[in-house]
Amino acid sequence: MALLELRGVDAAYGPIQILHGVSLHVDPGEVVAVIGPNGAGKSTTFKVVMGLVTRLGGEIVFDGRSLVGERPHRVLGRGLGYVPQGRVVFTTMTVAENLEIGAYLERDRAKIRVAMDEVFALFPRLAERRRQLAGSMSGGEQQMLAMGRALMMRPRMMMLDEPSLGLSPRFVDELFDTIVALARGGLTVMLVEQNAARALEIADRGYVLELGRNRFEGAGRDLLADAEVRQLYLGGAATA
Amino acid sequence: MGDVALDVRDLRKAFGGVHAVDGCSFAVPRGRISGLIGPNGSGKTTTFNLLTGVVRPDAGQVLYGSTDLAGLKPHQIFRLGITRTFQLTRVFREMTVLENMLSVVGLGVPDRAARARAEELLALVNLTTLRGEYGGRLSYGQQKLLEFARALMTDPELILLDEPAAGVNRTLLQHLLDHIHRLQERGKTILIVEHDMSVIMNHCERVFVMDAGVTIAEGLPAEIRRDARVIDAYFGRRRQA
Repeated sequence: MALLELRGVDAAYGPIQILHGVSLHVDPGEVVAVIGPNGAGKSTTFKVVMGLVTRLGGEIVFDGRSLVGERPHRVLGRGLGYVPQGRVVFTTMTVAENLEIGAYLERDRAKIRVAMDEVFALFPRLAERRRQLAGSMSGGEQQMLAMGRALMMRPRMMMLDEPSLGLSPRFVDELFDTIVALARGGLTVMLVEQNAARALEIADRGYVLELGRNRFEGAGRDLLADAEVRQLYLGGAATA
Repeated sequence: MGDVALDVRDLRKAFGGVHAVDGCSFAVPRGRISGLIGPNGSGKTTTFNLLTGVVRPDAGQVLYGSTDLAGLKPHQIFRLGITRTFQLTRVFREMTVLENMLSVVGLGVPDRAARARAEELLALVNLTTLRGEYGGRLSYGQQKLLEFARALMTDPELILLDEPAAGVNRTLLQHLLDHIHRLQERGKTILIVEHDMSVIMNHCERVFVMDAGVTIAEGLPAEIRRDARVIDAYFGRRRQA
């Protein structure tokens, strides 16, 4: 059974409908990439799952129960983590404080400590900088922190919106390695990327959205090899 | 040295105790596409801010022809024919896409020509159908595209692009790059900050590399790719091959 399933979801910002009947599913342990042109509704798909935009219709089910009508913090509490686009961290707080905030639904101090140790094991650089202000760190480190903060609730699944945005090549390599490592450790991952070829390389499956509708879906490597997908969405570039 | 569009000499800027740009020098060749790369936090965006008057340098010169841009205000630099885009976009959120494009009217763009030009540029970046939409309602990638189009409204001589590929679909990016080449063929000078190495390696003739506020290397893309300092600071060893 799918861990997350969207069936015919319509969503809007105010009067403007962005999603028109989007359907997708993510099975436990899968890495699923969502790609498509600018304005396709990729970020909106994540936001409607989190309850951050208005859902007009359709069904959203996580772990066998509907997410419809749930507030964002309740979605989080059910084990679905979310890292929005653009390295959103609390810049005037330290690394450790940012991580503690990530666990704000957790009352048990011991569990918070364990979660923080796990994040530090995954990102040793954050451990070195735990007392540093987040705003004084480089973009790559802030992205690590944003991911680490989402991991503090020890979610079953994470949604990552353009995690490689604005990162140097070295950090992009590290970031994708980390996503693969998290997936091997059992975390289910759904990610949006304009670095779509790179995302499809690590994805079990991918969905292509266009103008708020499903356009293609398939195994990551099949989408990568598909001439039309390459031409329309991957810049027509030769296989890396 | 050949014809230089912008000669940056020993530029410096500190914020509190942080030396964001700490003696940065490079010469941007006229009529060419050049790239500025470096790790996150190396001072690239601050350098752009210094070149465009958004931030005032503590020391150093920015020679544009015989004019030193250091200390000039952004609008003065803009009137000299220099325009830029931002890494984090600066579109007018409560103006429509078309109004954003026309916001530069009066800044040297004649009113009659402006509308046709705006439509032409919006078509280039696939935003025609969104021309009546508010800027604040566009996605991040679409805001990047709007800003790119708006930057070209005034037919500038020198164009500074801060991460034009970030958040932009790769197929559309190819169209933008084709357009950048057409601008270069018309004699325009382009300087691009970018982490997408396919943009830097395939489209830039000269590449400058910053680390910790200084330029540590410059050269042809192929030379930069092999430079040991650049590999350590930026690419990581895996990309050495």
